[in-house]
Amino acid sequence: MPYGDEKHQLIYQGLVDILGKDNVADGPATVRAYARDMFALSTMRRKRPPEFIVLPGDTEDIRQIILLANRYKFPYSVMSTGWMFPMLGAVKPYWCIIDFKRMTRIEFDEKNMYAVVEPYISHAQLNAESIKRGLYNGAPSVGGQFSTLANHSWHGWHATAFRTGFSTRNILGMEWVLPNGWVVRTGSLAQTGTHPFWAEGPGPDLKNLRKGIVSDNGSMGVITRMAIKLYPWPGPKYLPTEGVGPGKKCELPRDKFRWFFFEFADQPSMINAMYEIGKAEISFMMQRYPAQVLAWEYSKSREEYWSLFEPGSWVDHCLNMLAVCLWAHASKKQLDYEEKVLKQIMSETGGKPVPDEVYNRIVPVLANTMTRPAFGPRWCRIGGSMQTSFLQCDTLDHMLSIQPDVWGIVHKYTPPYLEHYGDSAWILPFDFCHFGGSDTAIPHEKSDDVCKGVVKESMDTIALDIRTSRPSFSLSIAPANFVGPNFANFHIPLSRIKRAIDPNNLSNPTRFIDIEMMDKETAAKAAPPPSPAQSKQ
Amino acid sequence: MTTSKPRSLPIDPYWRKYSWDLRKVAWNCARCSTCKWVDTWEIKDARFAKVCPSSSYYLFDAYSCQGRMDLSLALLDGDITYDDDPDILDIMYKCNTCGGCDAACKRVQDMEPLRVMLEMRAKFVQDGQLLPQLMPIIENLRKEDNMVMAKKADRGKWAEGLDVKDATTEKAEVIFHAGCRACFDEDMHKIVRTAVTILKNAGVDIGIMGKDETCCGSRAYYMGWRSEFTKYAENNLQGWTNAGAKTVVAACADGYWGMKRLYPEVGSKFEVLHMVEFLDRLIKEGRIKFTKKVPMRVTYHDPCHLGRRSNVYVPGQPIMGVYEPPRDIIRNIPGVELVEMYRIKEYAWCCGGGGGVIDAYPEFNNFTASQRILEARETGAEAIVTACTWCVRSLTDATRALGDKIKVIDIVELVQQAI
Repeated sequence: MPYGDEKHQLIYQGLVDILGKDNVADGPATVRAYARDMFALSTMRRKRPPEFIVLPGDTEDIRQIILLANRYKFPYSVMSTGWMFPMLGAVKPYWCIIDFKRMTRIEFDEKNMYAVVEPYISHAQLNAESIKRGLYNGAPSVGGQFSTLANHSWHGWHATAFRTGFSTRNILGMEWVLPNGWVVRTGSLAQTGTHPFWAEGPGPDLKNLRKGIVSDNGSMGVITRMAIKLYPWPGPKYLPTEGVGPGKKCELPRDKFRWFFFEFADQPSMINAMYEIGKAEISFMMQRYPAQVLAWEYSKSREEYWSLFEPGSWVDHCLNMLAVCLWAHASKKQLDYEEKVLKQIMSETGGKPVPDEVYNRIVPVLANTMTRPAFGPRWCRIGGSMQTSFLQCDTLDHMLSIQPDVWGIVHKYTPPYLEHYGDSAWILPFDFCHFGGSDTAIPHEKSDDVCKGVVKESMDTIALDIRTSRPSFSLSIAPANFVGPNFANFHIPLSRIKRAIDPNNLSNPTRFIDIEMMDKETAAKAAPPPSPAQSKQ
Repeated sequence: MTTSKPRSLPIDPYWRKYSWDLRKVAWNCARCSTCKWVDTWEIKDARFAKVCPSSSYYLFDAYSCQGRMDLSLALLDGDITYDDDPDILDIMYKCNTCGGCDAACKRVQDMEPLRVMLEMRAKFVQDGQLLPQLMPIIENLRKEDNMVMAKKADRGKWAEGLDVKDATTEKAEVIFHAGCRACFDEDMHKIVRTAVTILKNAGVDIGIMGKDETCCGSRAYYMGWRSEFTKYAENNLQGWTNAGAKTVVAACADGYWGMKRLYPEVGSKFEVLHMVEFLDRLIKEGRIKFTKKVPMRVTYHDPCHLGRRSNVYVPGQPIMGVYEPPRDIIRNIPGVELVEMYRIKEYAWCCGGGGGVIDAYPEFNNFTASQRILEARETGAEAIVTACTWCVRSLTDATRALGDKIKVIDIVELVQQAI
């Protein structure tokens, strides 16, 4: 990259003029911290840091950065905790990463049950402040330390999704700066300017531009404030904890939260039970808690993790395990009623309670990590890296039909993938089972050779998803112009929108939609075929 | 597990069982950002959710544990050289070595990243890459045997008039090591004088090295000067052996950490206790009795090197430290009400004074301590009690800078009030 040339110096000075010297960095040692994470793709690209890191303090700072980007034509992407690094890291010269660490404001409207957050408020921070107020926000198992704004806009699969739904549906009013420098306010925020209590507003709802299985990865501009819908919380003001990490326990009061874990003989009967629970409208949390996730979250060390694979391990009870938690929003009578219904459904669908030994291990250590995630990053402790390209959204029934294909690919690439606990995918129902998601996070060692193999697997998975027209994570992280031809050419209208609001193609270019590649392809098609003489040259 | 598939275990044994490898720890940083935050289950207030002072003050990820892993890796692999960026030393030294990140990483990744940072500092010194701000401190250490820019001749002043054995000439079962901060900082004299008086009155056969006490070497160790550490460790061990001591009691957390964690590598067989452990033992044995009420609402600040840094890491085992003895002491004092801050024990916030920060980056030191004072204020406590003279210094200075009325006291002062 042309580090230090005249254009670099102009950009640097421009950024300093906007933000002050303390909030702009271009030193090699500083930008190195924004060059990689644990995913295979970014491991492969680790020697390619951005040229600038900036720390804006508010929406106006971001608007000014974007205007400067358009003046000097430099690309930018946004980062909070940086977990989805492969979709955010630098891929072109003069790349600037907008780091949100100064944007940490949080406000509540308790009566109307929402919070307004800036990008560097984590799920755990929002959760801690919410439960003090008798409210609750959904959070993904991957970790409480991640930006709640980023995760809500991206595609958070929250453990309470059975009730709280797909994360993007909890976004109310939102403020974002378009790549041309305009500030857009959506939902009721557009009407009142101050009250983002409702997601809808007059006219077309622009926020849907940013929605999808995994949103736009910041290719449509920068979200600076978001109102997030909250739900009632019947629990204590602070999570009750016991002991010292890594074996810390957290058990919510059983008069307010009742956990149930049922084993099933097979996946179809488990899915059937999910549907029945949805129809009965009971419980606040439900998911197939996969043995693989349970093993890595439960174990306090690498050695303990591998010991769980020994024959006769208690984790064997969890291969087809349904986790259900009833929340007493109303009363003990409500809990008693829901428990009765749940047990009736289990008797009809074949669910058997796990042995007490298993139950007593899971509840204090693992169950409440679904309420506020604590152990997600442990998946990297198994081999240093993890692959999650087999993530699908569709009906719950469909979750069953995809399993053979998914595990077929996993087995093909094992090794280099590491042994996983059974073919046990995470299956999460959304909105009372209106639809579901399935994910199989597979650990692997973090080395250049293995990472090459993993990237190849990703390409195989994308090809499979294209062939089968499945809406998946893999397809959503591939550029829209790559997969669009198999999905009603959605990339064509999308490219028009992108060109309209990002005329210089600077807002995280190439990821969501690769305009440059589209233009090259168009030019190649339009060009006359080479003459025989040109061909010889 | 019931599976028909062939097994695919990690090829590198590192992934099957904990082992220490400098580069592998740096390489395998997952960028999960756990190192920047308090244990998520323990977050109680959005304002006090961070565990890393450096990341909280300097903000760029380079100043977090994760960023330091990236930089360490780049240096180890030769992707960056010292000449490439004048900020390299600052990035590695603008860290209190408090171990908040380390506890977090152990909890989820089974790795010890702080060890990487300390090894890198030692490598810097070995490579002749010396942080200019620390050079006068180290020069003074070499000349005057202390880390606080003071004259060796003044070392024994704190004990003038105290009726206590001189362990350089008399045998003593227990040696009280006051440490550089307490010996030369007049504000701390009352703490160590009180400590010695309490122990003596409890019938402990106690002695001090007085003017012949030297630095413990711990601070030099975590600044990267390993040979200075070894020199002082060997010197102290010889002095204690000559005195016929069995036990050494430290007044500050840094000294305690060095003597307990590092001295065994230089051959120490002494029992090492921090003052709070010894006090707790004496109280539980009935040798110290509380006779007065101290009507006061207090909160307790865990010194990092007495808390989460004080024990050897055992994978899968709790990240233990001396958490309960000081709390037991406080709870046992009649009239005292202990109220906890949001961040305590293994996820406590640092006072800011460690890692050479108090010497090299006073503004950062003050920021860190000020954050702790603001947190203590939230509890409604009249006093913040701690158990390290370096913490007392940092927190007292921050209180003055903030114009806050909260008192900062060492636990021995609280104990003295109740006897």
